[in-house]
Amino acid sequence: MSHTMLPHDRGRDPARRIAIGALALCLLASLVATGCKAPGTHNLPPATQLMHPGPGVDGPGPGVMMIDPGVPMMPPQSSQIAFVGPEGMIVAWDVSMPGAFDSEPLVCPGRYNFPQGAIYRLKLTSIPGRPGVELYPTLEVGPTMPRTDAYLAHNAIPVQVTEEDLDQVMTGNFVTKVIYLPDSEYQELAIAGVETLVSTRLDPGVDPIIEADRRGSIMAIFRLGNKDLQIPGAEGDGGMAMGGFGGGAMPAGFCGPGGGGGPGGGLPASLPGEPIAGVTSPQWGMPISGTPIGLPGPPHIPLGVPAGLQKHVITNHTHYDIPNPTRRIDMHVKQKPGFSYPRPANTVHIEEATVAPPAFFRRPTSDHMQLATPCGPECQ
Amino acid sequence: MLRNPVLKTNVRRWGVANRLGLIVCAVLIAAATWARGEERGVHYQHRADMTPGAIGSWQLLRGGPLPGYPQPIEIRAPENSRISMAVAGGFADPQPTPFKVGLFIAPVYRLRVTGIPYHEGEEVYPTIEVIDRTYPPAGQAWRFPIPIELTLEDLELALDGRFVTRVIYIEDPDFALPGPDDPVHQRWIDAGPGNDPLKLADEIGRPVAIVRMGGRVPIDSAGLSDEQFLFGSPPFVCAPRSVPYEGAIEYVPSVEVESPVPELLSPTATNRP
Repeated sequence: MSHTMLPHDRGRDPARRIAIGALALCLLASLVATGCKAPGTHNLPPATQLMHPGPGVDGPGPGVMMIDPGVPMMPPQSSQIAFVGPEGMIVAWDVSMPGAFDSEPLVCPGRYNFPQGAIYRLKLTSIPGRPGVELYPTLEVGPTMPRTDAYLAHNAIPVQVTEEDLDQVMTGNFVTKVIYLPDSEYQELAIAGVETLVSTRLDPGVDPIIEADRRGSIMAIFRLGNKDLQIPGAEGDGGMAMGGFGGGAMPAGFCGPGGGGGPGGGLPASLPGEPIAGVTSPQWGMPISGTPIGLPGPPHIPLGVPAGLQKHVITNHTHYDIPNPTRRIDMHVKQKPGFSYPRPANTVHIEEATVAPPAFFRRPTSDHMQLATPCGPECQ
Repeated sequence: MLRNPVLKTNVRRWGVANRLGLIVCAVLIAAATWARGEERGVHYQHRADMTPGAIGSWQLLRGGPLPGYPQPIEIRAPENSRISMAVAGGFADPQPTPFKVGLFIAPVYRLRVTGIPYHEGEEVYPTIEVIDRTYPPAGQAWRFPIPIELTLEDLELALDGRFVTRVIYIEDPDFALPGPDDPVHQRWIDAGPGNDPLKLADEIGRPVAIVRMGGRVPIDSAGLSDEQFLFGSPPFVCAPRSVPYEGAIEYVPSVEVESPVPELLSPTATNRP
């Protein structure tokens, strides 16, 4: 007997049903195993993305829980500068008044702890191979940042004046050396070292400070020129230094008109201080300008002409699914093993039986006899 | 024997498709599972280059039996070198190594290492930050301190101005070598360029301490207190001179054991009364 399958019977073919079912099951299992971000699943952005929720916005956004990290143990507020060379060169700076350079001479290689966030005017003398040459560079010591805190607590910032730098200065060039700690992506984190960018080694037009800031965290900037600050008729601002990392840093006691600190001494009177989120700067992680989705608008830098950009529209296409708080929770608790006690008694039968022993309330035999007392003469 | 010619034909055709489909699905699932197993669903909040003391402070916020517990550690250094702990704004008398001391979680302890071989007169000032504790048997904490070895290579790197970060971790039992460890030297792994040693240690085991060292030295400059350099000279607990323990059997592994699976070691001494 022959039997042919009609087209409308194919859907009811059991073998085809089994095959389709197996493929669908495999596809579902694959999606579950791979954690595919299909609608209905819940995921969290990577930690790095959480720390940068949007362009121009740093720090976690309002939806990220912030935990107080506690008070770290007194990070160093001074950076140790190691003047590596050239060997024998003498470094001095202001102590009592601007332009005095009356600190205790430091012979290279030598070290000194400079308070952070300030610019110091130095005086370099006794340069090997260049008798009579005196240079007055500035040293800008940056404040501690989270990325440089551990390094500065354990290492000194090396500052070295090379022969090439001296040649550049003597020919009238200006040398800027930026000492920075490379980001962990560009360095061996377990064994980290600093790097120095020198302006004379970069291509023309490349700012070493911007370049160093792009590569890592700047710790100090050393600027060297051939200006003589102690010739007659000078403006007498030999020790004066302005600006700085914090903007307007002028460490009194070391250099600047507000000096007066002790030798190597007291903390600068006008240290800029580190910015405190929410106090001296906008709250960390919060946008500065309001936009429909909380992102700052494009930068507006008027350079003498009206701003070309008149309007910006930012649309947030991010899919989000943030459910409302649960209003009711059913909690079912089951403890194993459970509790098992005997059923309590509901019927009590009390029967009291008193068995009366045979009692003989007879007079004791020993007491049957009574001794009669002889009667005396009074009863007779 | 009954035969259905229609089913026979279709079963043959779809049976091949079924098998191929199932094989492809199995391969896909296996590959996807393997790929997903490579990822660790962890969002790390800590990095090894964070501010000294910050990680320990975060750990204390976690709660549990962390605050107030003096974690015993054993500091090992090259031969003839000496260790001094920061005490009250200065450094205590140099002690020979190995040197046991109990450190609390979160404070940063500054050390001074002197007598470094081939570097006489030079000193290195590492710091130790304990970020987690161990759970030894009761009354035997000093028998099982966390070993921290300051190798000559690390000390020389620090003297050279390099910044060395060493993360000490407790090995995961699933990854532990089935043999006795070197009782003298601590095994270490180079994190390599771009890797965070704290994250790497967390993947291998449980980080318990961070040692940092560099070339910075204390300089007496007026107005700059050494307390900043010494991180406030936090208190610590000195190890008892004699470490008594009762009811324990001491196993002394033989250093001549070459097989990764040691032979059964017999107890050589016991204090059991």
